Amino acid sequence: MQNWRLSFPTTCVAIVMGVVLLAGSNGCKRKPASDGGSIQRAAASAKLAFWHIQSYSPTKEVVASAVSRFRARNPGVTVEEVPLSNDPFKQKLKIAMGAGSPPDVFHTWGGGALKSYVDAGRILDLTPALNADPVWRDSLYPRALDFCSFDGKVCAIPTDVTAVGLFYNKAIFERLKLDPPQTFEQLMGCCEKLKAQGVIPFAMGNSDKWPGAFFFAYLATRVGGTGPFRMAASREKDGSFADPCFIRAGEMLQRMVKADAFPPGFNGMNFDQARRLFFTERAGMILMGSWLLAYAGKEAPEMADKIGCVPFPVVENGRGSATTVIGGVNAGYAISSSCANPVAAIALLKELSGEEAARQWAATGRIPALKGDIALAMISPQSAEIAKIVHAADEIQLYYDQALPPRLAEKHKETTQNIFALTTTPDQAAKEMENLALEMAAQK
Amino acid sequence: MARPSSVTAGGRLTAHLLLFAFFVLAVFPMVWMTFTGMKTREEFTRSIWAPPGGLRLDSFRAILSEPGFRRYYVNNAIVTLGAIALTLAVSAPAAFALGCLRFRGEKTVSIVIVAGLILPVHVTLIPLLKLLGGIGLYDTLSGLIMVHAAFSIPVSVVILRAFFHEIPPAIPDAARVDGCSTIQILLHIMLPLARPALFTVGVFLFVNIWNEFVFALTFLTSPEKKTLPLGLMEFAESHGTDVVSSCAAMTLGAAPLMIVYFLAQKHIVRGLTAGAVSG
Repeated sequence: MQNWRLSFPTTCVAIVMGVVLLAGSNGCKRKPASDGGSIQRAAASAKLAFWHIQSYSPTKEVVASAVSRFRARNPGVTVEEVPLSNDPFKQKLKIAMGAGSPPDVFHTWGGGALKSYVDAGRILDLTPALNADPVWRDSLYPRALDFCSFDGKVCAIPTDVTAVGLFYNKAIFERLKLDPPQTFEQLMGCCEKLKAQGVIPFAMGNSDKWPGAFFFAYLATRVGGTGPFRMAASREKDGSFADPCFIRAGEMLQRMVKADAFPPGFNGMNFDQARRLFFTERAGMILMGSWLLAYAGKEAPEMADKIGCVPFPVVENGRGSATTVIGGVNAGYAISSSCANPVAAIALLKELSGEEAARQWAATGRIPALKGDIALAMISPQSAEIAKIVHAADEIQLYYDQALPPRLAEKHKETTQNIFALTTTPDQAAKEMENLALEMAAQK
Repeated sequence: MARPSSVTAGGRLTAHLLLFAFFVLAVFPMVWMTFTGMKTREEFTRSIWAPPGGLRLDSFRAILSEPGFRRYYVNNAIVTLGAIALTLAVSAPAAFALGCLRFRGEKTVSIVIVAGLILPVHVTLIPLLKLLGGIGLYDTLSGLIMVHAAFSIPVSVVILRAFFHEIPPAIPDAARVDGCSTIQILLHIMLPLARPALFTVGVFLFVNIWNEFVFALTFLTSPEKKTLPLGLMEFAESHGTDVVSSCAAMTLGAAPLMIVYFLAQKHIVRGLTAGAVSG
């Protein structure tokens, strides 16, 4: 009914007008253009894009002050500091890496996630920079550096470590005349006595899966040492996730569940709810990372003197050392291989991991990733117990889920959750893990 | 035999009960969120279900006084309104052409546009990031506006085309006999007729884009360019267990949606049915 030669150009004009109008009103200012270029052409302008996840007080200020010290010392370099929340950061970094435009300096937890970027050739090798500055190198905590090193190459600088400890309520233990448990059997005895007095033995919420995984990792490590996990993860020397130590750890967990060591409905509870049970003194113990103390300072300052911390109990006839700690890197910083100003980026890393920043980190209740004598001297009193446990450790076992590739890590958390929920047997769970590991190894 | 148009009393009761249940399901979370935002922290710890002790707006005021939050609001408004304007500017003429005019390649154009509907958002993130970086629109609001528009145009064209298609051809034909050009027909006859449909599409886009998270996260980086969903995410994380403040912030974030929806409600209902019954 209508000849199209007329209407088609008309439509085109409408489209072009719309686009021009909008782009003109907003996009054609000079600033966005130069911003946009920064992800590809940082070289000429000496700019560092820096993404991290310290997005709120008090650690936000620690990073901000390190950045401002860096700016004062390097007036020629502009730092674009971008604080992001945890999960959005992971997603944004993944996409930026995929698009080949990662930030110059960025946060990392080390472990498997960092390794995948290292394998893809996206991370700058920091070993030469460390060797060129032995004072810097020797001030860092070697075990934390291990989590950021692959094939002898250091790929990130850790700034603080976390570790899982057995936190207990000193007031409750004193009132019931209990001693913090040193062996698993003593632990079971403690649970029994706490329960008899109407106290929940362990505050634990396992809906997020990771809190329960701490129990599993600790028990497996105490039963079999760190060897079986390392060998199973790297598929060397007949390593297997069906190793007896994993099965026994599962059996011990189910024994705890059946003895009501955990609050009713713990499978549907999250960490927020669980720690509230501990802070309101309805639960006697909590197996948690050192970050618990930061929450305590914020949510239950009156608890400060009541929280004690001991190493996880040993297991009778276990092969694992009593001082091995489950832990990991809480924050570290890596430089992308596409960074146009590696010298400036390394200077920024030094500022972030230096003693001044570490002292401020420590003041927020964290454990700086510096050598024991330096770190322990600056630690805040409430973190002293857990920090001592960390630095007395003969070995630090990285959190299982961080040490494993993502699919296996998810499987580990899922099967552990099922063990806790009594919906699977420890034997079955171990087989499931091993089968997936075999399948993934076969795909390589 | 019952007439098909008449409804028995029992049937009407069931329908109303179902509607009421749906109403409760839809409204309850919003009411709870607003109420929680009005509570004091003590009230909240005492009972999470009880209504607030009074009309307390302190939490809301505290959030609105944060300069960051105001910034997010403004950014979100710029992005949402900009993207809607761009989408409508492109899709209204396109839908008119596809619905009322005949031209060579009509089918191909249709298919290309509809193909845009089936594109999963996540596979486009990396290519789009490269593209925006390449043309200097990374980390700009206008870049984000264009991405939103690109993803909104297909669905808008499909809805609007159905509407234009329902307008009896006699109307544009009569205008043409009176000497109107195609563009005049579009501007003076068809667009005014299509107002309910444009409203419907506009509100639909408003809801989508106002709440959109992944694009904003990927394509914006500077803290001062953040949109509201990004800001709320950060707010929720930094305020941890402060449920009262979080609820107040979320209520404020959702308020424009509710206002727009209430104001446009009449038009939306008309727009959704207009395509079916107009003639």
